[in-house]
Amino acid sequence: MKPYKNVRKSMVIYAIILGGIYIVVGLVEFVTAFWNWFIEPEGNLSFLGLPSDDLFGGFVALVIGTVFLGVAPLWKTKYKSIGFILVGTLLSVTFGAIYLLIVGADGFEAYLAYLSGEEWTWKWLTAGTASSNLLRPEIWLSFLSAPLGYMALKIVKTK
Amino acid sequence: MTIKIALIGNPNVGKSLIFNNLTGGRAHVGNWPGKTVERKEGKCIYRGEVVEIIDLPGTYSLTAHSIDELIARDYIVEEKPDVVIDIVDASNLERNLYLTLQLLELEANVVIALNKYDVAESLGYRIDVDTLSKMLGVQVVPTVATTKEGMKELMEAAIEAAKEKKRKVILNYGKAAEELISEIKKAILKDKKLSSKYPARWLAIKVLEEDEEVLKKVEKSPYRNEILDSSMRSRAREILGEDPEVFFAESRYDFISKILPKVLIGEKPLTLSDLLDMVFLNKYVGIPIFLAFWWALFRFTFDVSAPLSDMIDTLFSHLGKTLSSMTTNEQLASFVADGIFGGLGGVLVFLPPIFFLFFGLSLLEDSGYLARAAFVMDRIMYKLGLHGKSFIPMLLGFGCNIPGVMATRIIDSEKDRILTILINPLMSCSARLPVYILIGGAVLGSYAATGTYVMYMLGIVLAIIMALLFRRTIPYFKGKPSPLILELPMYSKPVLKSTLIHMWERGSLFLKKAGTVIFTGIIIVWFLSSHPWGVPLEKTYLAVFGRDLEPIFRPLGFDWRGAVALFFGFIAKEIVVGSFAVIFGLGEKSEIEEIQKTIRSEGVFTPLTGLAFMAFTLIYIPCIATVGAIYKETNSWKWTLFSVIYGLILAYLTSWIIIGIGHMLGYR
Repeated sequence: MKPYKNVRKSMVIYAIILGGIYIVVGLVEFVTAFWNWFIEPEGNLSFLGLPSDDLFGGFVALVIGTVFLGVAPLWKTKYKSIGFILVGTLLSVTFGAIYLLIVGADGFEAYLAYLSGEEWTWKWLTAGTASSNLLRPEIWLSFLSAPLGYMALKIVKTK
Repeated sequence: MTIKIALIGNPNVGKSLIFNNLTGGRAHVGNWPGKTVERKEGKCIYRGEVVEIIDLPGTYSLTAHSIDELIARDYIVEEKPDVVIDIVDASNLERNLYLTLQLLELEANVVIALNKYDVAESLGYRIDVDTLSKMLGVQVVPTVATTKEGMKELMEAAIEAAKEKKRKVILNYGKAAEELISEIKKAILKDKKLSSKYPARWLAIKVLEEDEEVLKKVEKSPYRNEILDSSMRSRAREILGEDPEVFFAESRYDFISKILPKVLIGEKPLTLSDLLDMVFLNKYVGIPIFLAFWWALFRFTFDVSAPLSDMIDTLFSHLGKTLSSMTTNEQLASFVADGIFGGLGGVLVFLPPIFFLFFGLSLLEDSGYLARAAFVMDRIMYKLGLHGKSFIPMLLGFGCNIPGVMATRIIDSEKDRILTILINPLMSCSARLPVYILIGGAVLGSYAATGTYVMYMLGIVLAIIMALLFRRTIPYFKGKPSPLILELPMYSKPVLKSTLIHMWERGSLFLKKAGTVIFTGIIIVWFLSSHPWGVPLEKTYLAVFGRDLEPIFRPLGFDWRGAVALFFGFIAKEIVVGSFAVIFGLGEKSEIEEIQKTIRSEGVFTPLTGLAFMAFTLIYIPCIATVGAIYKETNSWKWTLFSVIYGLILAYLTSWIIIGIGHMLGYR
């Protein structure tokens, strides 16, 4: 498995960076949402422009980050740990797709409203049911994780 | 002399095939005495020896948790066959050797048939048969039942073992456990009758494991006080550091994990399923991953389906308007607009989220993940007094409580089954979903999806609390749940067609219900809310009835409209939504937003009382059909009534606590 040996360490570094970003994003989303829900319900604390009203979304990002970090033993040739990349990518892509579908649904609703006589607006692209909609970092992180997952799957299938 | 051989093995290891190969397919089929489990016996003559072969029920272990396990165990203990052929799946040694260790503990004269040897080889590894034989102290014969390979050798090994009984391996459980075993064993050996009938060491281990059947046997001994010394058993928990049954099971698996590297030649390749399982079943991230998938399912269900609900809303509103304008009869126009299109339309807008929910659930099920979720949750469930398999009926309960209650049939123990039936209605079925969407959307604003998620979580938490409470307080449920043994299917890519079929099968139940029970209920509500004809809503039969109920619900912040909706929700939960549409007289334009707007403008609920109302809807009697299913499955009015009454009390209490906590936090 020469190709696997060559890319192993790069995959670990990539997964750990991705996991780190997810952890930061998740932590910010979770803490700000917790603050806005329970500590100061009237306030609107936000940080780095990340969604500040999605407690469970923040929790999910934390989970994805943790799963990606679970790949660390792969550095020391523990092949089994590649499963963490596979599951991390699956979660990442699932949520990326869900947020994109929500953005699409928001767009469709805006179109229905337009048909019923309301004024057309592009606001649904950047704000809506998925908080910051297309600006939600999890959507773009899912695109970044997909090649990693594809690589891991390829290795598993050829091993 | 006749040699008696018993065949035993896990389900699907090829036991029946080996039985047929050895007996030539000539079997006498009957039932085990007093049981509805099939008993198969056959005879053959091999090299002049008459051999009687009995096929024991397929089982994963020899605890007393299911009828199959008990039959197999009792036969070996009571009938003492000359040889027990343990059929082991060579391609899944780890799981199968657990039964082997239990047989050795039972001091059975074991011969191992290492079946499906060809499958193991095709997976890329071989088994060192001699080492395995030495490590377990029994004869091991590789077999391939499908091609009859190894059958002659198996029969010869069995006959040899019957004539020359060898000393078998005794599994050492470590110093602390061995001291406990030997103390109890000493007491058992004083009772000659008991110790001559049953292996003393096995009895001692079972006493420590608190095996109910063994405890019953020991109760009859004149030395019962010494054997069942309660201080020793409580000491066992302290010394072993956990539930003794779990300790012994883990020790057996630990022993197996030490054997495997020595007997497997060539590493078993890790499949994609193995790699995924290492993460999905991981002790630390398994449950958070499950919660993450559950949250994905919720966002998919509510947020993605929203525009489709809007379309149905618009369609019904348009139809109601058009059809009611075609008649001059006011009552008929009201019936069509408020009754049919207002009520039923208000319910049918929930068709998209319900179908989306079932689509997502089918995806998880077809991919093989749901079985893992049950496995992951078992760690918690068992500790909380629930059987691991309870998770499956509980999951089904999220769709509809009726199949959920019926699915409890998979649980062998009657106690565990009834307990699961009682808590199943706490699983938030799809019929409650419309209520959450309506009330959540009306008063929780952008937190509507979160409110709904919280309701689902609340249902799970309450189910666990109630199970724990019932287990501790109701004498019938006292004791431990039986452990979970689950066959995990391989992961597979869901096929769109079959996922859609699953979705339709479950979702169409809602459609049928909408056309029958819900429709009738809504017509009744329409009639009561519009008669006597021409009077204001506050003077209708419905308002009068609602005002009678109102004092009961006042402490929870629900007025007569909430009380009436809850009352009719007993027929079916979907009627709650239809009731609001009819009560508000929003027939002609009963878009969901319109009902929500009215709820807000008329101050029917605040965010706090709305949440309490959602919790009440979640907890109290699910629907009349579920009550029927509970009666059918428990065959007892006592348990059926109990489920209705405790549901009502718990619903009231929980809503009251929500209101109380909310007030303390400054919400009104």
